[in-house]
Amino acid sequence: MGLMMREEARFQSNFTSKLSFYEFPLVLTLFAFAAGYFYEELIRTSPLTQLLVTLHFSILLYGVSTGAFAFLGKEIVDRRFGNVNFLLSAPITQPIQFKTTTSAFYLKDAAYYFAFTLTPIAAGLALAQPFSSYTMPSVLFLWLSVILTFSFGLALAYAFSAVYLKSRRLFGALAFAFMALLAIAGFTDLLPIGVLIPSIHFQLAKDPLSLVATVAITVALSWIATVMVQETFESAESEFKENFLERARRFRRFGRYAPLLAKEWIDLERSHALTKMAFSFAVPLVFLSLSVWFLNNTLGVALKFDTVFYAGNVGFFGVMIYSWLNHIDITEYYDTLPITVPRLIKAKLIVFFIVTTGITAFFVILMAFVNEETWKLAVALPVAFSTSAYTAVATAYLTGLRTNTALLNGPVIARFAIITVPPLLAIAFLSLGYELFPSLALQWIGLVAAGMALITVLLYALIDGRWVKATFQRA
Amino acid sequence: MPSAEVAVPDPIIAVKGLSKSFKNTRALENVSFKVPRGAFYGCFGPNGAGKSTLLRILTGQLEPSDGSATVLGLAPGADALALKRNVGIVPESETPPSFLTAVEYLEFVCRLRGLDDGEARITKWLDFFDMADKKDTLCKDMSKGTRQKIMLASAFIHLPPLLFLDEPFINLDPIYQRRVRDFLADFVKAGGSIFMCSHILEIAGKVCTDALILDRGAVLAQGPIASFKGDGRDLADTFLDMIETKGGAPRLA
Repeated sequence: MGLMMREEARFQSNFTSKLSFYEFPLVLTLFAFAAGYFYEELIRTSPLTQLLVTLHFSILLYGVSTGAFAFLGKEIVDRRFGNVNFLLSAPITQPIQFKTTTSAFYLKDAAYYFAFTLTPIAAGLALAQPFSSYTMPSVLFLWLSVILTFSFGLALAYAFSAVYLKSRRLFGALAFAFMALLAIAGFTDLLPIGVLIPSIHFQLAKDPLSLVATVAITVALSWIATVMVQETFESAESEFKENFLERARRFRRFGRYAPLLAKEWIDLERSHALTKMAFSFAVPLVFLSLSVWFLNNTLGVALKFDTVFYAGNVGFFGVMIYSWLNHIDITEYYDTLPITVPRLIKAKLIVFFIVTTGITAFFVILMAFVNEETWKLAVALPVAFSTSAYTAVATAYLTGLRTNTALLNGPVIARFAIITVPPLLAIAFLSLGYELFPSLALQWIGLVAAGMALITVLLYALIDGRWVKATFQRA
Repeated sequence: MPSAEVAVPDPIIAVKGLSKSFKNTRALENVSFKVPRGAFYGCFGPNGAGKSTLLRILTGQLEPSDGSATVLGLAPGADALALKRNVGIVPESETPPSFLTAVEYLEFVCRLRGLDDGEARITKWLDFFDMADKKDTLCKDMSKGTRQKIMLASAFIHLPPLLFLDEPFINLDPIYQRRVRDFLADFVKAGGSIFMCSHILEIAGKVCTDALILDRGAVLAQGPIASFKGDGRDLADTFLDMIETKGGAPRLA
């Protein structure tokens, strides 16, 4: 596992420099310090319980989004990492099982995220403690509870990915059951959310039983997932009837992008990424819907999280989808063809818009119905689309074809935060102020959305200059 | 007959004082040479000599630290797109896209290269490599040799005036090694030019017209292939002698 940690550090720092790699936790510490420093102002606008629940939901999603470890063995066998190889592939040639390397990889990743993400956040809050009213033990308690929530999310995704490889039908049933339980917990009083995600109960009620329950469930899920990890992978040749020309014809209105879009779309279909992406986009949106509803209806929070607030947040999840699009397949072979990196980035952005537009609209409309605010859709939908386009294009501009790696890089994540956080916060605050001064809030929301749309066009044009010299080599 | 969008100059490749550094490593050091039009130019050297780095610079995938190069009269870095339209490239490792079938990848390449008669070209190359039964198989499920055949076909399909080949015979069985070797010899006879990096000196010695030997990033020798043979010695013998004597460093037998 130690060797895997070193491998991970070298792989991540390969994107820029060793120094930049270690700047990432530093940037997180600075952000957390700022949050801690302005803690008094934060709890004035959002009650502490609301902040904690939102933080835990975010951390849970973070864990879920990074935890599909059972897929790794197959990806290694399929050589989807191109020329890059990992210790994880050792079972192909060495007397060691995929179960062993996958579980070591899992523990390594958990330790990596504890050390480089969660601990720097806690450190930032601890550093700001002398300037705020919270106590040092409360920081330590928060650190422990978010580690529990993250581990739970990680184990959940690990187990679900293992089930997916065994039986997609069983995976579908379990995923549906989990979502249904979440919905019951969120929309009714029949099942407290703390029972389903005990670390949240641990945070809010400081109940040691919840601590034990979280650890037990996390260990059990991890163990089940590890037992289910496959040792051999289907090596039968998959055959498909020629479909490229038909796809290219369907995309012909996109001109020179048509062949790239056809190829990207076939990749999505055949790698089953379309289902996974739709699922991984829908899950956070369900979480978000539930948390917004939960905050509005169960905590007695004075502020109203309306459909426009929700729409702004929906757009932000575009980062994940764009990241997925860059993770489906190798790209090295493009270096042999007359095509540039910016052209492929733009093709992926077009695919992004095709994939997300419908889902985004569906969730915003759904939330408008749940909140009984369908009259706000005229504002909420443009906000959702402009935020989505803005976030995706900003991500593409900053990270190119290496989103996963680049977003663990200090300077990149700092620039990403500077570009994306202010308009998202503006939308959030303005939507919260809608009840107090509707006309003014509406005007400003319109202005912010229009501003984001303009910057989106600008960043889209700047992608050429920023990435024209880049190559398609992964590392 | 090879075809090009640009006039094909002679020399087709001209390299002057080319150097490349990666952090603390000097991969190429003051490399100069010219590839005459119509040459089958072999670039040889031990592992880590800088062959692939040189090929990546010449195909616009890397910028040199110093010196200059022109390929087909174009600057590889600045005119990478124009260059790639007019050359065929086979990289060191075979990496066609995972989720396209063989025929679909070749269709994709034809579309990107704007070839109107893609179907006939694809049929020709699938036949050449006896891949009719593999045409609907996803690239990720193919053997290394089959993937290599696809990368070769994708580099040959537009019949450019210049081919850059990095270990083109690797993973091919002797039948296809010979078939590819014969095609490349015919390609040069028809007026095409080739820049090839290879460790398979037995084949290279038979097909190359000129050779460049690199060691630790520097040019050890260059000239017509005949100058590397004679007195019962072939290219491999001369190469080993040069590396062990001129290279200066002790090597294991």
